[in-house]
This record gives sequence, C-alpha cells and structure tokens, in this order.
Amino acid sequence: MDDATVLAARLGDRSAQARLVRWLQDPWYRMALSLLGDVERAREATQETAVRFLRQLPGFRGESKVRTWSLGIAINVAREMRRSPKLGGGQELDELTAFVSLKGKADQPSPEAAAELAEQRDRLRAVLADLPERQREAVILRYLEELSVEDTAAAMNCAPGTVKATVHQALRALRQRLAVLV
Amino acid sequence: MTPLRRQIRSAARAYRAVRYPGDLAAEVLPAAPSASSGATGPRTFYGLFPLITAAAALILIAIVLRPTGPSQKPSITRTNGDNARNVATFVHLNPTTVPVPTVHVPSLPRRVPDPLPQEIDVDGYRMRYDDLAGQVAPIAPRLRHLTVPKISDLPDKGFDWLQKVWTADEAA
Repeated sequence: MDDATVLAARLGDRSAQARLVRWLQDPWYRMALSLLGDVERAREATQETAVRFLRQLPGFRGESKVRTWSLGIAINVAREMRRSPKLGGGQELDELTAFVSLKGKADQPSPEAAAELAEQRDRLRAVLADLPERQREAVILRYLEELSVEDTAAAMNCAPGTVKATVHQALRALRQRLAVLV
Repeated sequence: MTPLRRQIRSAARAYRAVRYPGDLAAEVLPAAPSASSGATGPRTFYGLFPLITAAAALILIAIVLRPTGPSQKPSITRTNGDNARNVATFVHLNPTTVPVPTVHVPSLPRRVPDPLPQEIDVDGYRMRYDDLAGQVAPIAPRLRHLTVPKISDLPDKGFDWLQKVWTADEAA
C-alpha cells in the first residue's frame, strides 16, 4: 500500500480508509482464525481489529509498516478475546484447525500428494496447538505471514532478539513433537 | 528440505489462501464507497448543494441591503484651456486665510491684582513686587547722557570716545 493512501487515511479520507481495510482484512482474519480457531469468533475479532485500527490510525507514526502495526492490533484483539469470558474466551481452542482444513487455491496436487499434504498439515496443526501462546504467535507471524524478524517483533511488541529466541524454542518443540509423531 | 520446513511451507500456502468472508470496509465504514464504485463527484456535489445555495443567498442579501449614501470622493471636473489650472476643484489654490501658530508667553501682571486671592499669603510677595524697581536699580546702567551719538560721528570719534560718552566722562 502506498504512503499517500496511508496518509490520506490518517487524515480521515474515507475512501483511503476503505482501501486500507480491504487490503488488510485477510491478514487480520487469518491471524484471528489461527489464534482463535473459530470462524465466527475470528470474524468478530477481525471487525474489532478494524474498528481499533481506524480509531488509532491518526496516531500512527510510520515507525513500522502499517501492515505490521495492524497485525499487532489483531494479535492484541485475539488475546483479549481468548482471555475475556465476555468475548467468548475460555473455550477449548484448536489453533490452525480452520486454515489448515481449508484447501489452498494455489495448487491442486495429485490425490496421493494431497493425502500426504493433509497428513502433514494435521500433524503440524496438532503440534502448533500445543505450543505456548507467544511461540504460536511468533511462528504464525514469522513463517505463515512470512514477516521479517523486525516486523514480527514490532507486531508482538517485543525486541527482535526475543522473537529469535521464541521462534527457536518453538521450532525445537515442533521438531521434537513431529519426530515423536513420525 | 527437512520435514518440518516442508510442513510449515505447506501450511503457509494453505494459510495464505484464507480470505475474509465479506467486505470488512463496508461493515465497519458504513459511509465508505464500495469497491466497485470509484466516482464520488456527483455524490459530493449533491451533498454540498444546500451549502452552496445558502452561501449564494447570503451574498445576494448582503448586496441588496448594503447602505447607500453620498459619495465621499472629491469631484474632478474636466476644463477647457481658459481655466486649465482648475483641474481639481476641491483643491484651494488661493486660500483666503493661512493658519499661523501663535504662542502665548506668560508674563507678570502690570499690577498686583486687587483684591488678591484669600488663600494666598501675599504680604511678603507684595512688598517684594512693589520694591521690584528698587531691586533692579543697582544693576541698571547709569546713563548720564540722554542723547545718543549719531552714526555719522562714529568713524571720526572712534571706540574710545564712545566708551567715554557712555561712561559719563565729562571730558568727552
């Protein structure tokens, strides 16, 4: 997204704000879906993220990318929804279930490859669900959203060194658990 | 490629294929234009139409109600050659009176006012005032000769003669 659109949105241009929200709605939704594991709650979290994003947008200083900054808002909303009973928290979550169960549109492999892929997804889904919250967020941002270490740190509101350590711990846990499963 | 990395990459592809089910901008921005409609000109014009109409009405009322009076501008008349100097009739070329500043110098009264103001104790001042001539007399020049030498005598007599005359030297 170009800087002019971001600036216009900061200054209150509704058309620019709409373009920004349409550009960011999918990352927000994927993040909420992977952290909350429920389509309806993910949709609710995405709407809440958009509301907060528009409310906080005039104060955005451009110290990070607007996409990274908005993913930080999405993470905070998902955390609050998980912890707040009013917002539907406290349920048994199965992170990554929703998105790994949806078939990707990019490739349609052969039936054998698709079966193997689905098996790998199921294994990964199972081990990711067992990770602590911070490790799960770090893996999603770093490897699924494919953010840089710096952007992941900005989204998680922590230092890049913390991201590296958290991702390292998460990958080690994933390897151990996948080895057990394999 | 390790099995873990292969699985993560596979999960990332599936992850990125997920789309939000709907138009979030239309949900959180009710007044936002939809993605298909790009032209906002006519809508903006119709939204501003009442404001433009009100501004035009105010301008029209201001013009109609503007107070009218005699012009304060000077009248300038064009003249022919006979009266060519009077190009501008509002300028007085030959004024009848010229304002001259006057200075009123305070001076002592010729006499002591009578009666004197009661609030002023002037007895002492009255005596000094009446004796003013006596106080001035010692420093006044003593003029014995009341005739003034003629100017025609000056080149012949010289300065010494003039000094003797004014200092009452009988020999002069």
